[in-house]
Amino acid sequence: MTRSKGNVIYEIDDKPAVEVLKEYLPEQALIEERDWMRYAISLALCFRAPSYMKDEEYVVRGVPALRMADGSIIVQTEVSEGTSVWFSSRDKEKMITGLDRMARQIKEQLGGEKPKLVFQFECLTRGKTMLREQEKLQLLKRFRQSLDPDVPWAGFYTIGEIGPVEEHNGPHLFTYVVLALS
Amino acid sequence: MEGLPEASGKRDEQVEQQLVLLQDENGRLSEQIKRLVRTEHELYQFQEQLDDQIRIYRHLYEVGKKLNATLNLGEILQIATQFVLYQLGFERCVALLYDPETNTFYVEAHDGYYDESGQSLLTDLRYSVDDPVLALILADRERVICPKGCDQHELVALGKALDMAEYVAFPLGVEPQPSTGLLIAGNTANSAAYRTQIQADSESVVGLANLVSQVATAIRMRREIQAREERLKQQAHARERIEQELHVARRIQQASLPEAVPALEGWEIYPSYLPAREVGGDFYDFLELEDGRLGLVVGDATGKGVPAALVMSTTCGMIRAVTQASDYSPGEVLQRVNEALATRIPANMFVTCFYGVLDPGTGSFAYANAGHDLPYVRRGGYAEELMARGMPLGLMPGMSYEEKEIILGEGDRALFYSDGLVEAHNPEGAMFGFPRLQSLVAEHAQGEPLVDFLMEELYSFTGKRWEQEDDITLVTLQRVAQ
Repeated sequence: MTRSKGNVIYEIDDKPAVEVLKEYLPEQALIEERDWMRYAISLALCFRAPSYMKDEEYVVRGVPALRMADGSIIVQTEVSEGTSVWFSSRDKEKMITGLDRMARQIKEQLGGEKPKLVFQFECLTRGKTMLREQEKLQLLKRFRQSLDPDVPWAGFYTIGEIGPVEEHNGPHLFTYVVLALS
Repeated sequence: MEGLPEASGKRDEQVEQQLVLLQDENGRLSEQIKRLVRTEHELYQFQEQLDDQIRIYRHLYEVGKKLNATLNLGEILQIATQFVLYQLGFERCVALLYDPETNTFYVEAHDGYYDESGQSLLTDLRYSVDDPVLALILADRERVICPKGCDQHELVALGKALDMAEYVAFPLGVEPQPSTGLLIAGNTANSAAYRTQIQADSESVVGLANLVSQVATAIRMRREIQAREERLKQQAHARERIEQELHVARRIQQASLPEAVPALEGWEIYPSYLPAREVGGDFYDFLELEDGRLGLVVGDATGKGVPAALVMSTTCGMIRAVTQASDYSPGEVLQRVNEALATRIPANMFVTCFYGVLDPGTGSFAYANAGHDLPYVRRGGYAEELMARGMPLGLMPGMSYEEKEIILGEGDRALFYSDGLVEAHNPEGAMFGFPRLQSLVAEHAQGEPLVDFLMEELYSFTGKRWEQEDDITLVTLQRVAQ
């Protein structure tokens, strides 16, 4: 980020931030500010993860709005000029890998016992706004089958998740939290 | 050692070259990634469009079923507005319907949040059919889009009235049918960014077009069914009125017919009267005259129902009055009745009438005929016609009527009848006819009464499904053989 103030990024690599965003979007996709809503979920920014996040290389921050007038983009947290930033696009394969890993970890923690009840709290951005309805249902089905297809399952969608990682509280995005009771 | 700086410089150069190569490769990879991300976005958009199409058409199918299940206008429009809001994702929907009585369009239904004052303004809206605000929309048989920032004042004015910053309006109705209303879907300025965008060829606008077609059909069907029901109701009223009239006509006719058959020694008189469903104008009467003579009248007023009943009743009354006033001959009676009737009867009506006077002692039967079907007399195995010339009553004044006289001998039998018998049709369309009647009269010598015999023959001729078209009157006069 070559020019920023607060939570507004004006320039990336000395180019207006909006112009950089456009490089990742179909032609003529971004004419008006409201056009961005179509991509706001599926294209986000990544910052290098803080050192206490041992398993994560990046943290994701969304771009809820942008301003065509000055070419700036707005992020959810304050950013410092000179910080490196990456672009992150939806990646269904990674989501599948992540869910498989979660299922494996839950099974390990249950130590062979079957879960009796599962709670699911999922960021609504992981739903059909990011993937197609059918794809989302496929992911859920795959995850439930890998845990236990017959166990009662309840939960709700979330937005603006805040939670601790290694005793550091902070905002998260695109989060999927599962609590299995045995 | 001298070579060392050179070697070092060469390595630096190589490193520089490799760095440049790597940076180039990095740039190329970066561009490839951007291209991949762009392509992925496009693919997703395309898939989303397909998903939307499938979703909308599934819901449209359901909407079609719901629309087919109701004729309630409120329900039809509620189904439509809910589809617009909850399936197509527009913020607001307003349905205006055409009121033919006032030649205006008014708001019949609306959905999407309007506050109280907004609702009040909306429901009070009324546009004359030639209001310039609607002119563009009504002129376009498909749809009109008013985008945000539109510069067409009339469209913007309608948007303001409906509190929509952008909208698409569809006339309800397919050519050549006139538009029965308008369906308008749109968004306010504040919500437009979060709602379905109004784009000419978007799935939502195409889906809306499909919905409008279904709604227009449902409204048209509803109106047609209502009109049909109204017609049926009117027809039922008309039938009821006709039945009442027929009832009145039947009562008039029954009241005009003699209650009893006169008893004459040495004579048998046998009347039969079978009214049609739509009462005709048949009548017969027996008049007890001076010196023990008997007047016998058989007639038929043209037409059916109350008019025919009134004319026949009047004619009966006149004949009775004339015969009681003086001892007129049959021809004179008919002449006088014709004079009186000709000035009073409606122009398109007349009465056929046979009038005869029997002297029971001598068997003399004097008669005159005003255009009625000729009676038959059976004597010696033959059926003779009782012929006498004369115009029907009521056609024109100044008519005279030929008079004839015969002597009815022992065993002779006269049949007086109306055209309902001879003009009855069988299923093939053939008429019963005079020759058949004449031969039946001739062949029937004894046994059951002639009247019953003729009716059996008639039923056998017409078949079981016969619907009697006209009154049938039969009167027999027989001199009993000693």
